[in-house]
Amino acid sequence: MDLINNIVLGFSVALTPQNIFFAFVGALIGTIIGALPGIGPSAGVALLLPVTFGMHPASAIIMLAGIYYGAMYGGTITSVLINTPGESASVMTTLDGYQMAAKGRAGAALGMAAIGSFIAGTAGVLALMLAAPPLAEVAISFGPPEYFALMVLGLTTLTGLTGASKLKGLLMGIVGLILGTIGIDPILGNARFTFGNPNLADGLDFLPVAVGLFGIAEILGNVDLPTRAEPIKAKITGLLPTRQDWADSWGAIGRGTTLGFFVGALPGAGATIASFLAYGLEKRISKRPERFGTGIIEGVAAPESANNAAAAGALVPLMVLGIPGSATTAVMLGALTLYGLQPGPLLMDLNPDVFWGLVASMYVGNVMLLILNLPLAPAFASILRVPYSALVPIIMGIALVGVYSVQNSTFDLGVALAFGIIGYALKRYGYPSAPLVLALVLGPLMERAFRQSLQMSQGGFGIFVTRPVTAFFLLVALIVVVAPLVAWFRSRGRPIPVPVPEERQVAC
Amino acid sequence: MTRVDVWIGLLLAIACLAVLWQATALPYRAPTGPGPGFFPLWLAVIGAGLAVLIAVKAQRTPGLAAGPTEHGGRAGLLRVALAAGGLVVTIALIPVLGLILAVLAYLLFLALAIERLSPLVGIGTSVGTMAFVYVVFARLLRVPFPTGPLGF
Repeated sequence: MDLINNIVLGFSVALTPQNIFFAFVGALIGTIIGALPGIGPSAGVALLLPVTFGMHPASAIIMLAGIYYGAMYGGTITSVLINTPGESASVMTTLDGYQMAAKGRAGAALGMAAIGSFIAGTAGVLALMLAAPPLAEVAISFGPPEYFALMVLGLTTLTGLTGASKLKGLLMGIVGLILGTIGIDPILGNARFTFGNPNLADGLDFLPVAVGLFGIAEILGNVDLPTRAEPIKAKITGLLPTRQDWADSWGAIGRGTTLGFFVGALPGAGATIASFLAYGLEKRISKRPERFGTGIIEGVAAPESANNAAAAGALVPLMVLGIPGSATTAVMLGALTLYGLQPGPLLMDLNPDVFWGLVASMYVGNVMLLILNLPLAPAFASILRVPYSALVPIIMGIALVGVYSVQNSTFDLGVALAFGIIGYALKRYGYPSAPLVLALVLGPLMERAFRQSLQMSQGGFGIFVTRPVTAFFLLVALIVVVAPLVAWFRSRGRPIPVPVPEERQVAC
Repeated sequence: MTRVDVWIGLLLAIACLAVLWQATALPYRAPTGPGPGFFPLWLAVIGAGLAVLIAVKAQRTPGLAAGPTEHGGRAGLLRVALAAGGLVVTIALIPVLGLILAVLAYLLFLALAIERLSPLVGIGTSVGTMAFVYVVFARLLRVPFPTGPLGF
């Protein structure tokens, strides 16, 4: 009964004209951001976060979430038409999507991706709605040791799954945690690494760092080597799938949705990993795995369903536990904190309009995205004709004014610039930025939970192994960290494996 | 791993050791548990260890490449330096010109000198962007921007 009341409350929030408008704007901007190679959902959410100040928190988070899941839809367009993923969660779609376009079936690929995304997105929201309340009940019993262990697990999972070098991912996570210690110590009040600068007393704000690493760094990368997309030659017709397409895809959509939601809900895994696993699963269970990569529709339906379900799944740890599992949800956590909300198990009780309004808006948003992406797919494809260099002033202008407006501070602009240069260098040499941002956001929370845990145990570290949930999370985290080190020691002297290309690294 | 990773690893190891040195000046213990120095100290130790491991791994990897394969060479690096340097100048000019004018000047520089857009597209996107952000931030959200000689 409570659930029905909450759903009614959610729709009463989501269906106000104002929130329908913000869900539409979020979905539209998200689709465009997803369609543009280079700008991912993390950058999109970070860049547009300052625009949401002054809005009601429910409206703001509805718009930001719309950007996140809208980008999952939009990423397909570039994957299919120019063989370049618009964002990292669409990498696997390039394999069969582009081959379908080469065979004159771009419309079918885009149509099935939109329908699969709609089904998966809607099912993912349904699962979020059903899973969140009981999980919140469990999470209320979590103490600082469990939270600390869960954050360690989330961070190590993200760093462990990021890109070609897990060591680089781990190091970036540690750098993020170190940066998170800047500022006044939350318990004893000592100034740490502030060097007498009052701007650092409250720590390094996540927004200039995120805008620098994801937005300005992306622009500097384009300034270094301009993105040149090949003009689209494929005609986009026949968007509605045939009966055969349906017969080939329904299983892939179902499996992709289920797998995607659970992978997305794991701290640190995210939409990119979900799409990789869904594609791999389809190939493994297929009677003709050799057809994958030649332009078959299951190869589009599975990863696209998985990444949309994962976007809904990723909101479970964010909203219920207050722990982001990816760079994008880390930025969203920062946004919720800036609006004065505390994501966690009590969010549903203290701010039911925000949580249930967001859930209901995602049903609305998915319908909007289906409408936007079916008949309007050719219109979005035409965005790709705009040279990326023409977008550079637009992105940079919004980034700079947005960063300044948060605290009216030129110091923040300097921080964004510094991290823009750092992010450019990191990208250039294959060091992932996502773990750094996630660690920066989680760092203060982790340290507080760690120190509170040791206060509870009067300094005894046994508290992290004697509590079963804590011990389990830490054991899994340890395996994630140690496994690549063991593999490296065992593989010394063997041939070097082919590295994963930069654009195939986890970012959302 | 490339040869550059050796230098990046060593650089980050030195940075971590600097953090370690700073952290030793903070109390390691507090009456109720770990002190403010505990967390940064151990993070710096782990960070330095990982950085050294990356440097060693890169050094031992046979057939090292000199660096990344996809970039715009010296000309690309010069463009990046100009874009970043321009932003430093912009930040310094904000108190004089005001936020909107200073950022507009930077966007024009970026669009016309760095990205080499046509004057119509470069000026159009730069002025259009700043008009949009002015309306959204200064008018709708009432963010108090530093103003310049033109009053905005």
